[in-house]
Amino acid sequence: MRLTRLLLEDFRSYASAELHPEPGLTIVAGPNGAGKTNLLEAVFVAVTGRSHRAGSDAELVRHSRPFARVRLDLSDPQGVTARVELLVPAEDTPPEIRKRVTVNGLPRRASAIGDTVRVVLFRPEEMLLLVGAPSERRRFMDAILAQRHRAAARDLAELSRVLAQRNALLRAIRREEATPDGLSFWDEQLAVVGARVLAARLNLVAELAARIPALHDAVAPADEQGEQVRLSYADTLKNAWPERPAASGPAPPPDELEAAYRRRISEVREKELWNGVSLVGPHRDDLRVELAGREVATHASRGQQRTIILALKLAETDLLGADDAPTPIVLLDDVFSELDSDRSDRSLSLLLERGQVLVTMADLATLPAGRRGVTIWEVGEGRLSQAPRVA
Amino acid sequence: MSGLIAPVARLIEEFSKLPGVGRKTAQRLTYHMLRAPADEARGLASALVAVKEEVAYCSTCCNITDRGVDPCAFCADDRRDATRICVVEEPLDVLAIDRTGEYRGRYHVLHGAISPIDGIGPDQIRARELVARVAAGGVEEVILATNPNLEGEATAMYLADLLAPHVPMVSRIARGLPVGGDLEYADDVTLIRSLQGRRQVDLS
Repeated sequence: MRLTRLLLEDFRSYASAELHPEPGLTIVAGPNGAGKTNLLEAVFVAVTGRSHRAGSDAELVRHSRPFARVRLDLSDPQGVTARVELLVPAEDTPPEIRKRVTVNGLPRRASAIGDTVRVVLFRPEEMLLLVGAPSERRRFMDAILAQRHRAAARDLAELSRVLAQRNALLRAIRREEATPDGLSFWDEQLAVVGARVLAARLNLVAELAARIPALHDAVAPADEQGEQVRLSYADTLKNAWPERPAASGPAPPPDELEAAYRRRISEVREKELWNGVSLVGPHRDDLRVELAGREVATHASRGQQRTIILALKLAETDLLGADDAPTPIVLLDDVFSELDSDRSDRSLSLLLERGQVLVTMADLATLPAGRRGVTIWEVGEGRLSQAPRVA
Repeated sequence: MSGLIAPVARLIEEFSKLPGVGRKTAQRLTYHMLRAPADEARGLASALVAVKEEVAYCSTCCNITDRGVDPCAFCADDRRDATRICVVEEPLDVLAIDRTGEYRGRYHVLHGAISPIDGIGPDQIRARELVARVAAGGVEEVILATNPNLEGEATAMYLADLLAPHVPMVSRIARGLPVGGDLEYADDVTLIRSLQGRRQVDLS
């Protein structure tokens, strides 16, 4: 699916805005703070149901307005069209107005929008994906899972709820306000839901690992070609999972992982009670990346890291569009300023081969060479230009 | 609050403490009360006071009851089957189940569900009262009718453990497809639960 029209009403800084993206590349240009990212955020929220940067939905609504509206008009090459519309109420809006997403006028769960349209967002912060905290890499994996599989989105939400309850109970036990006998229910929930999330992540890493070498070489400059990138998943099960395979591959049956979690959870009981926090589970896991057998975060150059990150985002794009799913719309939030023109140009070409790309940039000089003649929409002071110019 | 005279600001403040009421709604309610006849304000005020002063808890089932009426009407009704106790989270749940006419036993109201995040453990709900009541004997079955969410399940599991030694049967209400619903519209979890909870077809 590609976006033919984006319509905003009282979204963030925009009273109203209308953008008509090109089938291929569309640039949104403007100074920092002008509201470029808000446009990408609008597309992202309408498709995934949540913002990647707002603490609460109410933040998305323009000041003192009752609600924000985002409309996506979509069409695919076969001529099928769809309209996705998101309504987000402000904090004080009467309860009759609820957050809702409709597809062609019919209410849908946010998790069902993935059947109609998908989206890949590349944030500038992701340039730190490999050196940053493990939470960044878990977020990278979970964003793919949540859009691809409804069940995974639900499992991830349930896992965070189970962990919040379990941690609260562990803290209460530490303060001697509760007894440990209430833990068994939450242990079991963590084992069961944790095993489902772990299985989904293991499968995802196997799929990413299969795609990374070719994508890496496609993005890499000549001197990085053929370098061995290896992805693996680091879990918290230690010896409690003796059947763990040596290399990344499809996940084992859930009961094997559940049993491993049960064993490991009972092993760390004392430590958890002392710490007052859940020490075992997918929330402590990591995606490990090695280049030529060495840890990327510490041993790869900045350039090598960026090549791998671009390959990961390309793999994300391919996985989201796999299995007859709609081809994702790619949103690049000012990422070229972080890349040399070589890598920018090759990765942009690869993304455009796959579908539609919306790019924000503060400095048009970072636009990869050979891209003259593209459509540019200007943003300034919370307003979007009425029509694009061609540069 | 700036620019507002004190009584108005105070009422807005009080209204906005209510669940589901934001600041704007609180303002709307306050200005409604300003315009309303004095009788209406007095009526509301006395109803609010009465709900605290005239409502008591039944010493048997912990449900709400009129002050001075203990045991409550449910517990005092000898026609009700005293060998069965249906355990629910809130007083409104009693009304929901009783309205069906399907159940004619006794009730027990927990006034909440176990939720460590909210600081609610077994001691903050009326669990001890339930165990004492069941342990006193004469009960054949306890039906756990807490909500089918994470907190409700946690509560049910906890109670089942505590009650098992004292009563021949502890049961949990079924989960699954809504009556009159369409299979294809059911969400995955509901379908999975209804498959797990399937029963042999009764041919009698």
